[in-house]
Amino acid sequence: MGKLSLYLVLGFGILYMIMGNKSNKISILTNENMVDYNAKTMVHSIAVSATNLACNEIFLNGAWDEGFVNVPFNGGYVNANVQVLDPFRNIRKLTTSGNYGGLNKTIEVIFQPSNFSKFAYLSISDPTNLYWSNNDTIWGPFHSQGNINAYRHPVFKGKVTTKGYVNFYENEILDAPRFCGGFESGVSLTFPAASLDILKSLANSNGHLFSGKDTVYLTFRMDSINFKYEYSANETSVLASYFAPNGVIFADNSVILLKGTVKGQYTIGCSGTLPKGNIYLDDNITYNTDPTVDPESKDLLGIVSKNNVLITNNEANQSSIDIHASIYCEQGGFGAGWQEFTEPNGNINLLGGIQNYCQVQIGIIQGTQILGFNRRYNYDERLMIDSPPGYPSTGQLEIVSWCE
Amino acid sequence: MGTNVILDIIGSIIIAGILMLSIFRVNNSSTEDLYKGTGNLVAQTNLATVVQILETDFRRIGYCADWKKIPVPTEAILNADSAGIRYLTDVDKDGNVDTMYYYFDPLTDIPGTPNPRDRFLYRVVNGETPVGVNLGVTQFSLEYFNALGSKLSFPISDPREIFTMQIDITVEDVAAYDEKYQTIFWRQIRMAARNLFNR
Repeated sequence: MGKLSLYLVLGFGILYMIMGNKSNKISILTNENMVDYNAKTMVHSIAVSATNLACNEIFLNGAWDEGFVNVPFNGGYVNANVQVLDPFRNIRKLTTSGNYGGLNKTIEVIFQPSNFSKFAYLSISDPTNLYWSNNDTIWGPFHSQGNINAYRHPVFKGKVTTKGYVNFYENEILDAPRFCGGFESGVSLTFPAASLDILKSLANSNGHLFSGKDTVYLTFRMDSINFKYEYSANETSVLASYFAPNGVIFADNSVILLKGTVKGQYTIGCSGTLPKGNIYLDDNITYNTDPTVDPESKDLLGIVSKNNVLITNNEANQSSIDIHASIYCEQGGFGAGWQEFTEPNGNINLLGGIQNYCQVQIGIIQGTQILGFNRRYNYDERLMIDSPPGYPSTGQLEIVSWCE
Repeated sequence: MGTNVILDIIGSIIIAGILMLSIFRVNNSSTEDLYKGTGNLVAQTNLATVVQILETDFRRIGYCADWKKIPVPTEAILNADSAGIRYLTDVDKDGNVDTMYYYFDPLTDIPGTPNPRDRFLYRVVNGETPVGVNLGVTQFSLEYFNALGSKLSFPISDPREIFTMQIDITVEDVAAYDEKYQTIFWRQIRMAARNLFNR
């Protein structure tokens, strides 16, 4: 009886030891599982932090390519390496990695120079009483150097940045804008002082530079460009690609009167002190291949002025104007700016973007009638990835791809 | 054979019975614990697997190795609701845009598993025929927030408004001892896909 009891106790003891061992293993595996997930989360956080640190260095100094090697960070190590993928276009790739608990995580970020042409609308100095309302839908990237005044949920389809903040007409519930491409406040973006000098230099090197002319009449006729210096003079016609091989045409200390049909990629620039430095649109200026019809269209136009880009008050523009271009006004704005508006003038049918210092009047409201123009602005989405030759750059790099 | 002997035998039988019952009970309890532990481990492993796949995939919403192929990243989410999301990405980083579709079928029980609540969470790339992998997911839901942090109500009319998302997942073991299923819940509070607001 005594022996039997001993065998019984021993038998069950062994059985429970085996079961206990298995139970312990399961507990250990469960813990390992949790620890493994925690380590993966940690290494990801460390890698993202390293990427943010490196991105900050690049935003402070676009030429930063030193990287860092095995820098201790939050219990792990971080590395960063900057590689120039395309020296001509300054495309850069940042590769960062985080190491933690024997795990490694790599993140790749690609940068390219940021160009003003990507903005559907950019304004440095908007009137304080300008409100974006529920009747407004803005497609493409948007920046305001002031505040964004919102009235009853305006819609912004692209990314919105502002140096200031969103100012609601009444309160957030009634007025909050719909940001469909993200929103970032505290972003300062001003026009670089040397933009037009760079454009002039490009025109002088392998484009075409007009100098010593008060006025330049410029008409695009697809493959050719016609120009003259006086209204009554005869036009000179030249092959566009021969006239400005790099696509940059600049009139120094002058006024440009522009119209026509653009085939290819060009940027028209104009400098000078008022009343010079203005570009007037004498008639429609459109692409030979309309990108809204054929998205493969390669036609692209930039209009860059020191002061204003204005719609000429002439017979051709009395009943609407079509403009295919990205427009940049360093010290002025885009609009009509006529001394008086006597009748409805139809629409400004713009396909492109506007980056200006301030707004210029396009019409007036008289009673219930609008005299002047209505805005019909459409964003040319090709400007998200492409820009007219020599178009002013923000001087900063922007992230175009982020791979975790 | 006297009365004492009979009493000894009866006593021994009673004590042995009590002992055996105790042993069976302990054995039963140990087995249940073992099953629970194993079930917990399986469910936890499954959850970690699902979560890691989801996190990797969702962080690549709007990503393409040839970034010019998704010129407007905010348009990368094609449609989104509480049980699924369809978006553009580049699954194998080959520079070709792929369409990824995650969705949860809350109605159809997975055949062949004792758990009546487990469902397939489908991951469909480029419209392939959906193939379900049973990882014991019993609940999967998504919520979306705009750039100002406000929750978007369903149906979402414009997926471009999505700035961050919340992911909720519950995983149970597909089979359990005495139908006592182990439940594990995971929530990612504000998941942001970095490429959505690059530019």
